[in-house]
Amino acid sequence: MRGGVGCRLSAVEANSNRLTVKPSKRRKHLASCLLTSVFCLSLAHATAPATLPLTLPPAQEGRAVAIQRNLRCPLCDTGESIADSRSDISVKMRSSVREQIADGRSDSEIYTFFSQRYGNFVLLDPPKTGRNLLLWGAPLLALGGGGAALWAFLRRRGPAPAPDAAQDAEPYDSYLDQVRRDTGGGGT
Amino acid sequence: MLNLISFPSSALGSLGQIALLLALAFTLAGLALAVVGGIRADARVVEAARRATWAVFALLTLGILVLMVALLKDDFTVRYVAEHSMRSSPTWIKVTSLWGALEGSILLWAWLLSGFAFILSLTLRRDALRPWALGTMFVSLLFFVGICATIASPFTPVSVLLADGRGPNPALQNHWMMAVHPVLLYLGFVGLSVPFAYAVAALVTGRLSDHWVVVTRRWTLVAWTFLTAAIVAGGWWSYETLGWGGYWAWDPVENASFIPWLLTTAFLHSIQIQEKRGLMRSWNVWLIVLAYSSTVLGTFLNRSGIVQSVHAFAGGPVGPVFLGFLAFLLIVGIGLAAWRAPALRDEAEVPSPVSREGAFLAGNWLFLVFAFMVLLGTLFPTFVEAAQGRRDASVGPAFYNAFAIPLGLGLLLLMGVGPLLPWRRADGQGLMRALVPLLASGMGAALIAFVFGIRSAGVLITIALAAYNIVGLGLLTARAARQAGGLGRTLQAQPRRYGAYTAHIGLVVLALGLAFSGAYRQDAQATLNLRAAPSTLLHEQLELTGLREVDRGFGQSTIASVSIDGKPFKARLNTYVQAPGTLFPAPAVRYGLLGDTYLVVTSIDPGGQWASVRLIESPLVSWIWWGTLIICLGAGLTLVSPARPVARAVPAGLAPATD
Repeated sequence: MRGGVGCRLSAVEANSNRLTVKPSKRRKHLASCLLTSVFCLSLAHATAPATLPLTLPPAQEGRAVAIQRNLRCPLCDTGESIADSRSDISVKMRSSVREQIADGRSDSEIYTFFSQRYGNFVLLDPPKTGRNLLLWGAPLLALGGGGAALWAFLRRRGPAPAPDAAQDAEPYDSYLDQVRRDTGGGGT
Repeated sequence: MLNLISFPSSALGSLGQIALLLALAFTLAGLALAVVGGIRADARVVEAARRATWAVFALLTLGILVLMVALLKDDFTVRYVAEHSMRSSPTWIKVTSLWGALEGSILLWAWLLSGFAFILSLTLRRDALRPWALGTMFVSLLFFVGICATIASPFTPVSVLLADGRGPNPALQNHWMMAVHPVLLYLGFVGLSVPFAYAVAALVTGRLSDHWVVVTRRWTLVAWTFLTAAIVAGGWWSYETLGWGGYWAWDPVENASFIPWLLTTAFLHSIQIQEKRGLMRSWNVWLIVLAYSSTVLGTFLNRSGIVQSVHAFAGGPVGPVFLGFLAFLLIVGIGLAAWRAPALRDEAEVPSPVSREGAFLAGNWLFLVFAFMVLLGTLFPTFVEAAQGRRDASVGPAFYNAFAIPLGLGLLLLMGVGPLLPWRRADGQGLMRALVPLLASGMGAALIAFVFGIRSAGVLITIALAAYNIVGLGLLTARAARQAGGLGRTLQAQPRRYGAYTAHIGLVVLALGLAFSGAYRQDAQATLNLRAAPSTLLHEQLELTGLREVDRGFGQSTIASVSIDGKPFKARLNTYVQAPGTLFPAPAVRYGLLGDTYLVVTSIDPGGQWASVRLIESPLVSWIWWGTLIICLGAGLTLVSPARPVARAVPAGLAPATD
């Protein structure tokens, strides 16, 4: 709430950045965004009375909240999303998400916008591309592999008893077996 | 070289340190005696090892008492007290400071471990397993006592004597739940060391008796109950103090406590296959080794700081040592299991897919995939960092929920069908007949929910599965009561079965709480001005009625009194002297059976004119806490022995467990 103006300003500034920074250009954003947020903070204190935040229609508001939950606060060491974090940079990022939704950008464009500025680190919902396919695919492989192993084990039912029966003709007797083991007579 | 003792600087510190060093000496001696006694099968040597646990327990008790006295007497010559306590804290904070930081929590851990070793020494049978089970407990003890007597000793001398201590971590002073959650968690983690000891003993000797199954199951069940309560208590702490209205964030350290829970839950089911059918013996041993290793992994993640988490306060110099211990456990466990696998071959016939065993094994499959998924998500950012040299990946709730919801629903489905199925092989037609009322009630419940306006697929399926489970358990109970001639009689005869049913019902209640609070949580923020007209937020009338500051000695509290639809709420923002700039919210929560109203202050005007608040309404959150209570009561009931425990166990098995 506080610093609405400051953050609106910096969101606008971010928007103008967006036009000038080439998407492919990678650089260390953390330090610069720290500076931005400090700047934002000081502006916020200068303009204390809060202005109303951008109001969105319900459908867009829902989208905004969903995106905010999937973006990580880049400066918090708790792993919080910007939806839950109370840090200044999260406040700024929240209003930037709303601005961009109001501008009519798609969800993936918004995620790309933030990942270009703060790195993939901020994406709490890792996109299913590249190395993240390992992350998303491995549990499915485990599910499939485990299911196949379980099925194979349960299917072993038919032929399995045959070799055992060949080895050991007498019927199984747990008491006899225990006596054998306790006397070291071949249980192990 | 570490300077461990300085007599002139601190009498209490020296006493504590001596106790820890002596405990270390007895641990080493006990380990040596246990191994020698095991190899030579010499009962007198084993007896000496057994008594060594008493000495270790007594000395660690002395150590923990010394630390408690130092904390309560504000003796700042003791390093831990100087670093993590202060005069102005209330007494309960001083007590909980004992486990509020690394050194103290390791000491508590070691003490609980020695306590379990002591109980084990009294209950172990005089058989071939005894020296090896004791020896394994000594290995665990050696690790924890070794750490707390040396690199993470709370008693090492301080270089400069402070007039007042630095005080406890603010995040840990904010809620009384901090007195409960860590202790429960340690009881759960440490409790798993006993089944682990039995598993190693079974691997070393190649013997798995009926008795082994019974004691391992009981100890695991005790640890599991504590672990369940601890995980949910941690969620409650998060709900009550972190001010975001949630209880579970898939935080790496939360995950680290959840993985052992998943593995032990799988074990508690598959051990029953071993109990009744003599199957899955090496699998069960594996599960226990993995579950115990995962507790060490969890502690390593918590202590090493390689993952970012809300538990970052717990970091310390012991990360690499834990990693070493974890590697040791895994290598020894895998080595032993590979060596002994032939000895643990199953004798009985493999079960039919449609049978109680089949349902348990399918459950095991889902539990293991679940555990693997959580482990992968937790470690993936670390792998990426190792490969790329910087933190460039995060795994958030979106990933976990994508898998956890279907897996959880699958487990609920199996949970309903498991108790219906007979051991060995189910008759297909009979099963279908038994399933019809369940499926019908599930569909009916989902339809009613749909009519009442519930549209979320996950919630509808959860409701259907809840009804299906409850009706299934109800029908089974009714039938058993009719056969036994009364509900009371069947309850008395089968406490274990009805304990399990109760735990399942608790889980259903918990699942409903998770589904509704996850899907229908509402959240809104506003800035309220003092003496202004009420504002409407989530259909409630909010009015700021007062703002005041309270000096609590160890920190400040700003209290915002807000009236929500006429009911008073007092939400606080706390600051602590250790961290002057950081605000710790203490939300005002009104618990209700159908939903909670949760008010948290996000900022307060220094001039005292306005407060920004966040109002969260989540339905059925309290069902999570009640469900957990029911689960724990059910788990306790399964431990109650029926009148003739041994006589009952044997005829119940179709093929008695072997050896």
